[in-house]
Amino acid sequence: MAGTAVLDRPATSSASVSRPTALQRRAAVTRRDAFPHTRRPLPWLLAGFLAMLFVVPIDSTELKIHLPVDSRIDRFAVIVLVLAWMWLGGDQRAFVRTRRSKLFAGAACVFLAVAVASLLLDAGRIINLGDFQLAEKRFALLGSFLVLSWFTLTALRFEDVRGFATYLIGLATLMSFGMLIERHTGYNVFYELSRELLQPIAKVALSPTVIHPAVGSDGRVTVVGPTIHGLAATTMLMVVMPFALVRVLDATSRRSWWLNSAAFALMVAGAMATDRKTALVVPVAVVIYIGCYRPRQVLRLAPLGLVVLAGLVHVASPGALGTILAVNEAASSDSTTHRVGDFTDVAPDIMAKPVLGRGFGTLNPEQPSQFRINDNEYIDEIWEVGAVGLLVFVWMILAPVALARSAIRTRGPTVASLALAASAGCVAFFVVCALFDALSFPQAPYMFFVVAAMTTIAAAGPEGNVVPTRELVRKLAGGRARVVAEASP
Amino acid sequence: MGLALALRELSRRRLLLALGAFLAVLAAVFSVYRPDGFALKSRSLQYSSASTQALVDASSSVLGNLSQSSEQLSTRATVYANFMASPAVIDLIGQQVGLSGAQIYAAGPVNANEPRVVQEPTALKRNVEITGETIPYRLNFESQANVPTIDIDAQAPTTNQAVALANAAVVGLRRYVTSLEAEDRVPSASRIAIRQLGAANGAVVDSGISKQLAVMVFVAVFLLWCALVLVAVRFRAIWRDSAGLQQDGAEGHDWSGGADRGPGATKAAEQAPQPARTRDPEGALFDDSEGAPLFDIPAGRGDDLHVIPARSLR
Repeated sequence: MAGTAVLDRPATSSASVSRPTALQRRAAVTRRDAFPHTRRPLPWLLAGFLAMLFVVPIDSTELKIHLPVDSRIDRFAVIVLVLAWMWLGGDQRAFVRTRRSKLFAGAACVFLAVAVASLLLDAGRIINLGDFQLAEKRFALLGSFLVLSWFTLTALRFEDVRGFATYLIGLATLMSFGMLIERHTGYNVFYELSRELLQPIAKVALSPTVIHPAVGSDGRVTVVGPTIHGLAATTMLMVVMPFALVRVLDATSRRSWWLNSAAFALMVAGAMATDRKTALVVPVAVVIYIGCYRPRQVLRLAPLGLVVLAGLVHVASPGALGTILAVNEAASSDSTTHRVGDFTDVAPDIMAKPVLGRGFGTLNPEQPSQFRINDNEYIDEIWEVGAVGLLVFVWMILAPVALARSAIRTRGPTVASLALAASAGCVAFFVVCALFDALSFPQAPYMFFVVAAMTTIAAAGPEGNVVPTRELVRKLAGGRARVVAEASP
Repeated sequence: MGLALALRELSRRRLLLALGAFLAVLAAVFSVYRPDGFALKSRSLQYSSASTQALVDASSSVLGNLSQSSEQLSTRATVYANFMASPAVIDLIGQQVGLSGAQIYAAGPVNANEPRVVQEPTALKRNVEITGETIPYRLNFESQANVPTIDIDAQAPTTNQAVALANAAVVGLRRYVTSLEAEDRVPSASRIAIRQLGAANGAVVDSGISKQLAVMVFVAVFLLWCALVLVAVRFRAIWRDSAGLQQDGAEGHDWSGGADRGPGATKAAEQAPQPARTRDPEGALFDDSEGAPLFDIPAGRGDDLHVIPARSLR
């Protein structure tokens, strides 16, 4: 409960009434510069990128300018981030020098190295099959994910994470609202709005929305939000959902409790509106994970929460619960049957290249006669980057969860709550990867890489903030002057 | 700053960098050449493709005869496209270009109208496909519904070979069908005629791939080497520091920064004031025990080590 005060509203303490200490002055100065009150451009650029993810269908939007690899709008946005990082002194906030854990960043670097090795060590075969160009495109996408994660790690301070969590909750709530409208009316506000606004500079494809189950795939509606697949939209909401849930658990004010509960319920309803089973499985996993750290609070809220949530979802997305909970139909559906075949039918490829796989990014979904669409990212990874790559991939996802563990258990409520919420987002992605090929839809990994970076920042606490170079130089110069003064007779 | 420090660290180790560059060049060379005795032989990463079309026609061509229907021929074209991937026809095609059938990988048409789940390969089919992935001579046959043609796509290391392979596919099919007709003594009026719709055209698909690959390998190996050098340097420094600390500890100094360890040290530590955990006016909690400065900075100047200037834009 103490964390609530930290997260949601100012707490009054006797210390604040009396003369402020140096520590409090320091805190006040830092807080004034925290997102969204900051005038630093890098956090705002990141916020802009996230807004684009939640509003613009990035995988259906191609700018009218051509790049050598891809013309999708997110690639341009990533280039802008990189240029801004270089121009605005991102390097002055060198992540390596901080006290933030290097576990996640290290895992991401190793994964990149393994992916490169898997491609280059088998380049002859890959080129012969004509898959090299495809792999280059996938590497550009992987690079975008890593750049975004790096940008987040170097642009944000611990004090920004709280504001960003609120911002993400706001974006996800808006997205859920849009998806509910889409479910009811068939009007995809994200596609239509993007097409109107970006008309002079980009082409936005038509929305794949289908709101009649009989016409949709597999007897389900096609509700996609700002993505091309309901699963990607569901993942975006699931990754943000823990931030709202933890705030509900920590809330001390009614206003905070109601606002975050409403946001959480809207996100669940929005995810359920896609008629995907993932929307049921992932929240359960997230609640179990959070329950491991906050068992009393979760158990106390669970009975009432379930009933209210079920009612709300039924009202917001009529029929969605029935479709998702139809166990018999789900077990015999094409989707489930196809999933069962994933494990056996990819065996020849895995056995042929067990260590480093057949090369990162060489699975071509446009060649159905050669490649399956595996509904499991882990199978895709062992297929593409082998057992080594799969291990590193799992390490990359679980690294933020592991480093958050000690922070949740040993640090103060501010750090613990943020670390718990952010790491629960990583757990959501971990589960999602077992349910569909998550890296095939860019929004899902983008969200993971942002939340993983936020976990790293949150777990390190305020001590993990990087001292800007010019500050450091000034202090070092002061230190050296003192040493010289002491050494001189 | 981090990048600058890393570059500065690397620039101090020029010999290691030179060794890394040499290894990277070696890896780049071997990525595009393979040792053949004492010589280097190109890995033939570049490939070309060529395509042509074969019309499955009657002796008296349907193209200029309105009274004849092409429906039956369209069905037959689909059948031919399928059996062109069979070993018997592939052997015949190979003979035209001086290859054995085993040196050519061929794939028949896929019905695009079928659901994806049906099109996706089973484990058995993938086993066969995997064995042919490294074969440089490749043929692919496609046929469209209601059109009596077969699209032939050929791939080979050079353009001439690809064009020859595509042309040979038509000749091979023609020979195979003719031999069947002759064997069964089919009347000439009822015979099928395989006509090539123009000679095959081809071109290099991935010109410059060898250079591209060599550059990529060089960059990857060199960056990996630089990373390893930085890690090794850092590890060596930490190792040396830890040895010094261990020595200090053995001599009875408190290397953790506290007072000398003695009989009363534990009790004194217990009695020492605990680090303050202060809640700021808006609730953010700061724990002094975890906020030790990174550098030895004079008192009064290091207080704001973690403070970021409020108006800092960078």
